[in-house]
Amino acid sequence: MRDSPILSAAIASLIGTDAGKRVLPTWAAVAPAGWGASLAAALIDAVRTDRCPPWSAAALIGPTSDTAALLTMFEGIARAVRRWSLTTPNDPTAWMDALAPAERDRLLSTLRTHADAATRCLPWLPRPLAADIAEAISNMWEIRNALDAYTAASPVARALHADILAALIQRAGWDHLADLTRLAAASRMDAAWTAVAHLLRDAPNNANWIVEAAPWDALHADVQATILSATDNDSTSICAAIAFARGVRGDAPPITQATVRAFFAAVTPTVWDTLTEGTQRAWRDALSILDAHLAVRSLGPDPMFLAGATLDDDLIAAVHRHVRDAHAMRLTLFPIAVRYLPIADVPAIVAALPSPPDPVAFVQIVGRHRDMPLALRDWITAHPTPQALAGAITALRAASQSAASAARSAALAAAFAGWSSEEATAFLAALPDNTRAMLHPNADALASALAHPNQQDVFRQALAALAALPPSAALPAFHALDALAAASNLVQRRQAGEELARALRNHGNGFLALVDALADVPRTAILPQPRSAPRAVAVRAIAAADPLAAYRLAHALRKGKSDAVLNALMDAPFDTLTRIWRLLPETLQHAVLGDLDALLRDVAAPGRVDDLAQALQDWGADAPLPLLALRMLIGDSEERRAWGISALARRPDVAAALLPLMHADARMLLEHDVRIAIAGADLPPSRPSTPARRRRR
Amino acid sequence: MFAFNLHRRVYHESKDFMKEVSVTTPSSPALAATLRALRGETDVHVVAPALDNLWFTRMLALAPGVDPIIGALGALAGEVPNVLPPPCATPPSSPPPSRP
Repeated sequence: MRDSPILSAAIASLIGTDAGKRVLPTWAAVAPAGWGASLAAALIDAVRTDRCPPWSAAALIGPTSDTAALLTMFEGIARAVRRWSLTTPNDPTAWMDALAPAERDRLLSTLRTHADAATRCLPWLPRPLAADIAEAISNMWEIRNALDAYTAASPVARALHADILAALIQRAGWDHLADLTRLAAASRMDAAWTAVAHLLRDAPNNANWIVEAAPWDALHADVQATILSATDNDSTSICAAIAFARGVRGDAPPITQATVRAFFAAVTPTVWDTLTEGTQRAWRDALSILDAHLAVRSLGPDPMFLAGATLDDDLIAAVHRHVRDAHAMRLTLFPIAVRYLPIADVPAIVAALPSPPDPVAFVQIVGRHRDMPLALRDWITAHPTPQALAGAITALRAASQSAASAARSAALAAAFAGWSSEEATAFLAALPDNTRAMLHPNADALASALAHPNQQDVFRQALAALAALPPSAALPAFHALDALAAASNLVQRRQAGEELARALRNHGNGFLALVDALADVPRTAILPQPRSAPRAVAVRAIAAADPLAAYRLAHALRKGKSDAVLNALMDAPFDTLTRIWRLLPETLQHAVLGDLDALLRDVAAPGRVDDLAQALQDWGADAPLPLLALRMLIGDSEERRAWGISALARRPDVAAALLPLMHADARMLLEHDVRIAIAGADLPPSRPSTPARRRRR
Repeated sequence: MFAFNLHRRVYHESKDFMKEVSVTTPSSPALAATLRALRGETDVHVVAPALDNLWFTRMLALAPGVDPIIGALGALAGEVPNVLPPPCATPPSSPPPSRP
C-alpha cells in the first residue's frame, strides 16, 4: 500500500489542508524514500502555513539544503536525520553529503549542544561526533534513547559504531533491561544478550522487563535458563511466575501486580488451558488494561483480553503474531476503535456498520466486558442487527459511568429510538444486575434515596408511569435518576436534573409528577422554586410544556444573571418566549437587553434610529421577540446569532417592518434566511458597509 | 460589541450553523464524513473532515467496507500505520485533484 500511486496522489492532494496536517507526520515515517521530492514547493508552503511539521516535510522531501533550512528545532533535526538515514541503510551518513556544508554544520552543531535529541539519532551521526556525544551521556534517558536508536538502525550503522555501541551496552543498568532486550532481539548481538544475562543474575526480580520486551521464544537460551533457574533467589516471585507460565513449575505463585505481567508475558496456551476456570479468572482479573497486550501476545486475540486492551503498536504487534491476514487483523482490532468513539456518536456509527462476523465478541469488546453473561450472549445472538447492537453497546457504555452527562442522555435517546417497551424490557433483563441497575434502577431504592418521606407512593407511581414511556425517553430518564441518587454534591445533582429534564422534554406531566414527589434537596436541584408565587406557577406551566426550558429558566431566575437567562430563552419553545419574558423581574429584563440606545445604534440604518425605536415600540406586547432577536444578533457566539436570525424568521411580518430601518450589514446577515429574504423582497438590495463606515466602528 | 466588520464571517458561520440545526443527524461534520466513508465514499476531500479526529480516523483505518485508500488515510491520520490496508485493486471513482 505504501507504494500505491493512488494513495500517493490522495496524500498529495491533502498537502496544505487540515487533514494533511494529520496525515503527513505518520506518512513521513513510512513513505518511500524521496516521496516528496516532486512536491517540495507544496510541502514547504504547508510548513509556512502550519499545515505540516518541518521535520515531516524534510523527511518526505529528502535531505537538501532547502529542507535542512526548515529545521530549526533540535528535536526536529533528530527526527529528520533519523528518517533520512533509515532510507539509506547501507550508508548511514549519506544525508550529510546531500547538504551544503554550512547547513550540515549548523545541524551538527545544534545536535552537539542538545544531547537528548542527539542520542535519538546517534547511529546516523559521523563517528567522531557520535563518540563525543556518547562519552558525555549523563543520564539514563539518554542511554535509553541511544539504545532505541541502535535497535532501529541497520546492521551497517551498528557495525560502523561498534565501539560506541559496546560502550553503551556496558553502561546500561537494570533500568535499561527492556531496551537492551529489544536491541539484542533485533541485532542478535551476543554482547547485548550477555549484558542482559549479567544484569539478570544480579537482580532476577527484574526479569519482568525482559519477558515484556520480547516474546519468550525470541529470548536467548542463556537468558531463558537464567530466569528459570532464579526462581528460588527472587523474593518477588516474578521468576516463579514465569516458570509457572512456561509449565516448568506446577505451584502457582502469588498473584501480584508484578507477577501478573510476567505471567501473561510468558504463558503458553497449553499451560493456560490446564488452569481451572477460577484460576484463569483470578489471573485475568488482576491484569491491568495497560498490560492486556501481553495476554494477547501469548494467548491470541481472545475477546476477554481485547475487551480491556488499548489500540497501540504493542497490541497491533501482539495480534499480528496470531493473525497474519491483514483483513482479518483489521477486523480483529476494529471493535477496539469503536470502543473509543464518543458515546454520542456510537448509535449512528454502529447502526451504519455491516453486521459483525461475531456479534457477541463485538459487543463484548466495544462494551469493555471481560465477562459476557449467558443471557446477554443469547440476547445478542437473537438480535444481531446493527441497530440492536448499537442499543446494547450504548447501554453498556452509558452504564459504565454513574454521573449524568448530556452525551450519555443523547446517546441513549438515539440508540433506543424506535424500540418498544417490551423490546427494551427483554434487553434489560439480559444485562448483569449491576449494569441493569444503572439503566433501570430499582424503584424502592430510588424512592428511598430521592422521594419526599410523605410522597413515597406517589413517587413510585410516577416511576411506573415513567417506565411506560418509550425507551428513548425512559432509559435516559432512569439513568439521570440513578445519577441523581448517587450525586454527592450540588453540581452533580444539577447535572442529573438537567439530564432528567432533557430526557423528559416531551413528557412534561411525567416530569412534574416526579419533581412534585421529590425530597427538598433533589427537587431544588432540578426545579428551584421562584420566590414569587405567580412566577412559581408560571414556571410549572412552562415545565408542563418543556421541562428543559423550565429547568434553565428556574435556575436563571435563581441566579439572576442575564447570561443564564439568555441561554434559558434560547432553549425555550418560541411560543413560550413572551410568557417567560413577563416572568422576569424588570431589572433582569434590562440586564438581558443591555444598553438599548447602543443596541439601536448598532443595527439601525443611518438616520433611522428613532424610526427603529418607534417600530419596536409599535409591536407592543410582542416587543420582546424582536428586541431579543436583535440582542442575540449582536451576540458574540455563533449560536446566539443563529438564534436571533431564526427568531426573526419566525415572524416575517416583524422582519418586513424592521428590515428597511436596519443598516445594510444587518440586513445582509438576516437575508440569507429565505423567510426573511422573502419578507424583504421589495426592498432595494443590501450592500455591505463601506470601508469608511467599518473604520468608524 | 457588534462586530459588523466581521459580517462575512458571521454570515457564513450562521449559514453553516443553520444548515446543521436544520437536519436531525448527523450534527458534526466529522461524524457525517465518517458515516459517508463507512458507506463506501471514495472522494478523499469529502471524507477529509473525519481525518481531523483521532478516533474517527482509527475507525476508518479498521472498519470493513471502507475504501482502501480512505482506510489508509485513516491509518496514517490515526497514527497506526501498521494497519495500513492491502493495496487497492481499483482506483477511486473521482481522481484526486492535481493540486499541488
